[in-house]
Amino acid sequence: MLVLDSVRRIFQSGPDRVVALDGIDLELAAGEFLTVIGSNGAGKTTLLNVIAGVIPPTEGRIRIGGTDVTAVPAHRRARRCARIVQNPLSGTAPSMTIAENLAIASQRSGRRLRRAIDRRRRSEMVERLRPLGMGLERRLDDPVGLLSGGERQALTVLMATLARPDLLLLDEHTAALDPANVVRIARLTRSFIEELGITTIMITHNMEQALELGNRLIMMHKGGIVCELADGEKRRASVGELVDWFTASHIADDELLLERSR
Amino acid sequence: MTAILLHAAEQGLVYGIAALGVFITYRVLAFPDLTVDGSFVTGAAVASSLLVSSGLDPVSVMAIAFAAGAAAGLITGILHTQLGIKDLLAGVLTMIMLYSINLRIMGRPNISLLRVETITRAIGRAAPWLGDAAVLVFLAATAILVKLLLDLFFRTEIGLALRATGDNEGMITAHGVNPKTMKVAGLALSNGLVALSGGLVAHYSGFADVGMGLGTIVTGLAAVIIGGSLIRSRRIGWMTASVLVGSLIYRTAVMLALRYGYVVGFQASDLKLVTSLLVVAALVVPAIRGRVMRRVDTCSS
Amino acid sequence: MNRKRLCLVGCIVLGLIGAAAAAAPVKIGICKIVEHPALDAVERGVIDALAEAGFVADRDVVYLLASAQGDPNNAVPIAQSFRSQEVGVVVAISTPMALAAAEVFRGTETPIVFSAVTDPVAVGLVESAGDPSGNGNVTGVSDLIDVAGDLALLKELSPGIHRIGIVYNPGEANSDRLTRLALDAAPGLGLTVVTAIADSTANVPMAAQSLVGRVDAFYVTTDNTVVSAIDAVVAAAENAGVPFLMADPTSLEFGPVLATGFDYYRHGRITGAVVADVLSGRRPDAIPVTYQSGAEIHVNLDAAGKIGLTVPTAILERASGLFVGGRAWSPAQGN
Repeated sequence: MLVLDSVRRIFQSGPDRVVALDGIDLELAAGEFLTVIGSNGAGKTTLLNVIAGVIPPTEGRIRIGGTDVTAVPAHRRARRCARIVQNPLSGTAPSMTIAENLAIASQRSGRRLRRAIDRRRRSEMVERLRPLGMGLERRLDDPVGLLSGGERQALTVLMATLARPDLLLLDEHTAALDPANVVRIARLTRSFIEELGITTIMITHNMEQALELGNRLIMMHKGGIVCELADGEKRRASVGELVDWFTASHIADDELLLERSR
Repeated sequence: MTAILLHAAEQGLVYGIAALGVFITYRVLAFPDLTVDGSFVTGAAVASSLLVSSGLDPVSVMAIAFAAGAAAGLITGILHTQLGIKDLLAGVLTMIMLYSINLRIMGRPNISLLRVETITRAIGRAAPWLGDAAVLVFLAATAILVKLLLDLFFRTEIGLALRATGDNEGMITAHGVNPKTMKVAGLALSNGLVALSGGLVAHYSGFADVGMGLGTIVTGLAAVIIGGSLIRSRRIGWMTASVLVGSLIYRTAVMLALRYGYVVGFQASDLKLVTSLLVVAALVVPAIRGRVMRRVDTCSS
Repeated sequence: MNRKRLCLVGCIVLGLIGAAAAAAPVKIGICKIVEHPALDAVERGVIDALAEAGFVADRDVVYLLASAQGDPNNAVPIAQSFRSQEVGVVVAISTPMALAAAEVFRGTETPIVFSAVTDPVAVGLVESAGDPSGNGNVTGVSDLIDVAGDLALLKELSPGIHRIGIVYNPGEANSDRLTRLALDAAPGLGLTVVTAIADSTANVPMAAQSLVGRVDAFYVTTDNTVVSAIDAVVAAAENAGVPFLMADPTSLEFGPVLATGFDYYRHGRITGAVVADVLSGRRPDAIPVTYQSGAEIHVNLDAAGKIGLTVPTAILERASGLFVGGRAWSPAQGN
């Protein structure tokens, strides 16, 4: 489903040169769920941005579903590829209603001069919102700006999966939420991914989450992949083992260790 | 007094169409577009020179005026999205270009429509039973039709995408929409409406003048802001209605200032000051009302 | 018998009192497109002329003054305001104001007297200047300048003058028209006209400078934009060492070598005379458009001296005014 071929991304600003991605080779089959961990500045977000097309790679090629998308702009890549970022406000249009946001999310291409919301669509929306358990189905005509961060992120997750993307990219999407919502959103995400079988890449700082979710794990450091676990290996690994491995390799940082102790 | 209010209503409606255009770029797309000072005259220029020189009927002339305005908006859109020129500057550049283009279209700085059948005269002739109210009825019907078509558009899939572009560009990109395309489309639609308004104003006034566009952005924004402060709803139908209401209020203020300003000692040269003060008053009244309401609430609790 | 005569006299007296009371003052709406010395002078001229013709303010006439403050969008509301106040005569100063008034009062009996409109026929205000019968309720005074005459004057000033430079704003109707007239008239006089465009006052200096070295004389017509920055044109002409003719006699002291034309106060008085005519009952469609005639020539000998130019005696003899030694002289004061 996803192939990264020697992807390199260098940021140059005058004399300063940062190698954010240093020759990444990655292959993800359809339905796989990859978790990504690593210290700050390891290149995790850059990796997702390059896959989504927000930033072009300096070198290398990216293929989604067999098609070379390296030169395809972000908005076109978004037809097959959905993203959710950390900021719970980023994924929704605040001055528009829940119904309108969902209507937008119900298609990733082929928009026409057709009426976007009719009675049938509205009842579909109610059905989709109900399982969230937040009462949003009763607030279809409320502007999204009135919702809390947790509600907006839940809506974003629903919106990301509504049009059945081929690829889902999650960039620490529960990190900015309060504990109750973290649990709720994490559960929601998991159920969507399992139900729809979407190929997923999830960045997280939470090592327990990284080990628990998905079938593969990679750890990034300074633009490269330094550790990769899959299937059985991943299931058997424990957080403690991972931390020891980091410390021994001198690549851990405080945040990573703090997460471990949660 | 009724004649003055009638004329104020006529002007509120006809300039209100331009205000709807400004609403699209300023409110919906969050794009401050100065092209309008030029495209307003483009509409007037096309609508008057075509009427005088070609044999076309007034309605077709208006359609072409709309298209000319849309083309102007397209230019600004291309300058911004393809050449990377900042929104404000792109609009200014097009506006400056239009000054020469408009003069070329008109062939002279003003054109009189005194002796041709303008759209307002054609309506008066076609519906003589309306009498003096013919022009008002026509302009009201046109303005309301434009408003309703806009409301319909903003409820379509493309319309929603356009609204989201101005609200959260990142979000709409992540759902497969090219924000550049939306901006160009919005600019074209907006300036088309502004040009249509310019054409109607020229026919209503009986003449076109190359300097009649100066201040279109200001009066358009005045209408949008006054209307927006009175009607707070974010539902698209209410927002477009508020723009027309704001335009009616603004034009009434101008007419009243012209007609009765002398009562409080204002002179001919104070017109701009008086209308500005009236706009401030229109903005302050809802704010005061809000404060009073809140005080009432706290008292009763 | 005595009683009958008393009754008769009493009736006549009552009748006269009634007639006087019934004759309420006529409202005269004077409107202009912008506040500007020339247009303000027209306004004053109209009012003065009417006063001298016996129309006393607040008794016979009441003046409603309005200005569109430079925005053509205010012209129609002003005219509509006049109409709602049942104005008896409208005096519309400048082309856009006249167009708006003509449209608002179209089909009514209210006379429109326009003023300071250069070409009322070309702009569509009236059907014909000479035959007013088809002009409806519109008549007025045109400030059309004898452009060909001005060009001929320049040629007479110095035989070496072949290329005339004109700085103008094509956005002003009057100026645009006059420049075109100059372009048309030049070839017949063996002259060429070179134009430089200044679409705002700020661009006048640059436009004027662009003509230095390319022309043998400068010419400026009644153009509000250029007149506002006339010093720049004077400077450019001096720079180039060439004469400058300005179509506004009141500007002689600012430095042009020659100034022709009429001053706008006089233009206003002529307009006032037309208004008086209308107030006395004459219909606008019986009054042909008045073209000001008898343009004056004023010579600034100081300016001529600066560029080393000797003004031919033939011109000096026709001059209505001179500017020498820093002050103005009129022929009556002797040479």
